[in-house]
Amino acid sequence: MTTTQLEKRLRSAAVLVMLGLAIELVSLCWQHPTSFIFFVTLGGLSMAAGILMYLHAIVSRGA
Amino acid sequence: MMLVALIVVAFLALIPLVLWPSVTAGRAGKLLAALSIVVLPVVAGLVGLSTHMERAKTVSFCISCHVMERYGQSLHVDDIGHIPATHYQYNRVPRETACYTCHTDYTMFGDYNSKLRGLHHVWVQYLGTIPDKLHLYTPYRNRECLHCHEGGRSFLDAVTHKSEPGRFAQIRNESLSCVSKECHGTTHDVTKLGDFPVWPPDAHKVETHP
Repeated sequence: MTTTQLEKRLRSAAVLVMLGLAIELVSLCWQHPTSFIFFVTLGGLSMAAGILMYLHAIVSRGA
Repeated sequence: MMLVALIVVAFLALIPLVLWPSVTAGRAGKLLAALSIVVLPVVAGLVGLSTHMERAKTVSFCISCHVMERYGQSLHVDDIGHIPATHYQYNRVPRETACYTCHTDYTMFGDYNSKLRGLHHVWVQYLGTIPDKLHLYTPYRNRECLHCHEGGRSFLDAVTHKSEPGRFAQIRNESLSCVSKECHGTTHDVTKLGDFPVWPPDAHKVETHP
């Protein structure tokens, strides 16, 4: 993987995690069962995808 | 507040990676990436999950769904025969978490089981058909009552509990339900809310079932 590709993936990973954090922040301002669903599904999945993308990027870089 | 600060810090720590991803070329940049993409978000996510779980225990959370409003109102019925109302009004359960205290399972994974039931409620709310009369998914177990009442004098000395030999055994082995009609059977009788005064008197007016 080239440096440019790695940087692109890191940027994408960071954006996904930021999105997840933003969803978490919004969900905390809304006390309703739906906000819990938003937090777990959209927020959780977004953060998990960002973290996995980051880990995959650094592992691929080392390979 | 701490959680909001944590989320904001985690968010801000990600900005350099989005704007200048080349900072990860250096050792400090790599450390920043690991910290801001993995460590801080995971911590913020776990604390957020814990916060959501705690909030999900409150009465205000439970009755935030329209279909549950009347069940919340039934806690204000001024009638000693209504078991949930009596528990709520006499502080036999923490008022803030009254629904959860009685409707969780007192087992190893009871908290999570009750949350899964809550997710099922949301599923029915949005994608299913809400029944006219709500029912528990499984019959109410004495275990939840005995979690607090077992060994208490009000339980052990109750005349009706001592009236027949073997009654305590029946209660403990679940062969006689605490909330059976002839015992403590008046639970959330939301169809008759309008028939009773409310406590405290300044509580919101109890509406009659349409």
